[in-house]
Amino acid sequence: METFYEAYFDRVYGYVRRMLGDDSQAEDVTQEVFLSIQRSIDGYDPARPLSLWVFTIATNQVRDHWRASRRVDPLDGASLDEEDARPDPASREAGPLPALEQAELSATLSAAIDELPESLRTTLVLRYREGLSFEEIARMIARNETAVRKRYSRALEELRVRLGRHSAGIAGGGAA
Amino acid sequence: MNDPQRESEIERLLEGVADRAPRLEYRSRVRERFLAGAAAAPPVDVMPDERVRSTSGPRTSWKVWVALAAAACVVALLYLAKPAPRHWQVLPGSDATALRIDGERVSIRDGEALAAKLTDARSVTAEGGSVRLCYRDQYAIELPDAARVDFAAFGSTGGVDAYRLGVSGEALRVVTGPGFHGHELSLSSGAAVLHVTGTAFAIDTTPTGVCICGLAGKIGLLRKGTQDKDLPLEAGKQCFVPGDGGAFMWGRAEESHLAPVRALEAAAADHWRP
Repeated sequence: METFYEAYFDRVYGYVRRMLGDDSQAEDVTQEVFLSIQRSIDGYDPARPLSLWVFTIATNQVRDHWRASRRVDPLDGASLDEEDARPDPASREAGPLPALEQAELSATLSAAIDELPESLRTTLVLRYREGLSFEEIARMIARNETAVRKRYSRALEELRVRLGRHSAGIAGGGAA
Repeated sequence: MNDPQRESEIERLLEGVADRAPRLEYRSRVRERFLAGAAAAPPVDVMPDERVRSTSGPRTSWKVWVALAAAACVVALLYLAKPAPRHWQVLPGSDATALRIDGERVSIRDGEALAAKLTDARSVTAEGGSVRLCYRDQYAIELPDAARVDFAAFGSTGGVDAYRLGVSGEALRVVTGPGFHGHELSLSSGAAVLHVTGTAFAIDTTPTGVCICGLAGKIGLLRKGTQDKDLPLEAGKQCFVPGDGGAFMWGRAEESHLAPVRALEAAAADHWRP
């Protein structure tokens, strides 16, 4: 259990914090995730990937928190079905990414992730940070794999657009 | 630059984005609690700015403490006197006279006994008519007379609750509720295995196979004993899974199978309405 805790705690906290955008709420929910893991560890099927199991629990807890605080689950709305039906994102801004200092780039990107709609953010974080497959994410959030792939592409495109805007803002500010 | 290139460029940049680390004190206290076991340690306080507690100020009179202790006792007594929440409830529209729960007959009118028995039930059979049962806000099922449902696995851990149900008898109707999302429900009936992620549907068994009709959402269908990928059954569609191993037969959902699901859905919606 100790090894498990050390391997997963920071990852789960980082994920929950990213989803909720608030330290206090993230602490509450992360604590619930680990209590839930403790209660359900006997039911864990070793044939399933451990990280998938852990992040499914974390995702469920985050969604329960969303539902409790807003009575709405952003991963479970009709609007998202429409969103899934949309074609792959078109390239809205062509050209290379803006040249920013690494630290500024990371900070800008981090802020841009936080501003993504929850459905896109969930998919993005589970994919790039936790390395879950599209199929695993699809099962986790009860969407089909194609829809999850589209969400991921849209998330990346949104980030690109936001980075572009940030760069344009800096250039505009410098010229003024 | 094409899309895959643009995506991989952003993915490369994402590698440099760090997540916020937890507070060390909080982390070590949750760790202590986690390793000790949930019951062994109290909940960990979260960010102090959200849970403000006064550390100074005028001393409180002992009378106030006595009054607070008395009030706490009253609250505790009221809490203990309050009946435990019923996870299982019988919904209106049930005309069964009894349920056979793990072999024991329990009258449908004895709500307390039903709720208690159903909590740890492994098998439930409707007797004398159909019964509509609702489990928390997660799902509702309807069992026609003599139909039986077996609870092969029934998580109630608060985590990833995997519900695995076996169905035998004439039919089973299922409607998932607002609290179901994120849980897993799989049902096996005859030669079919169904993976459910939030939907409403009917399972009707015949001597030659199992008919599944979808009313809402999607169901993943699989032949029992195979490792094939789930085949999706959409709302308004029907799939017949022959018991002899023949190919799945697809068609339009049968209205006579959907009608009871609609009625169950309406009864459950009334029950779940805040």
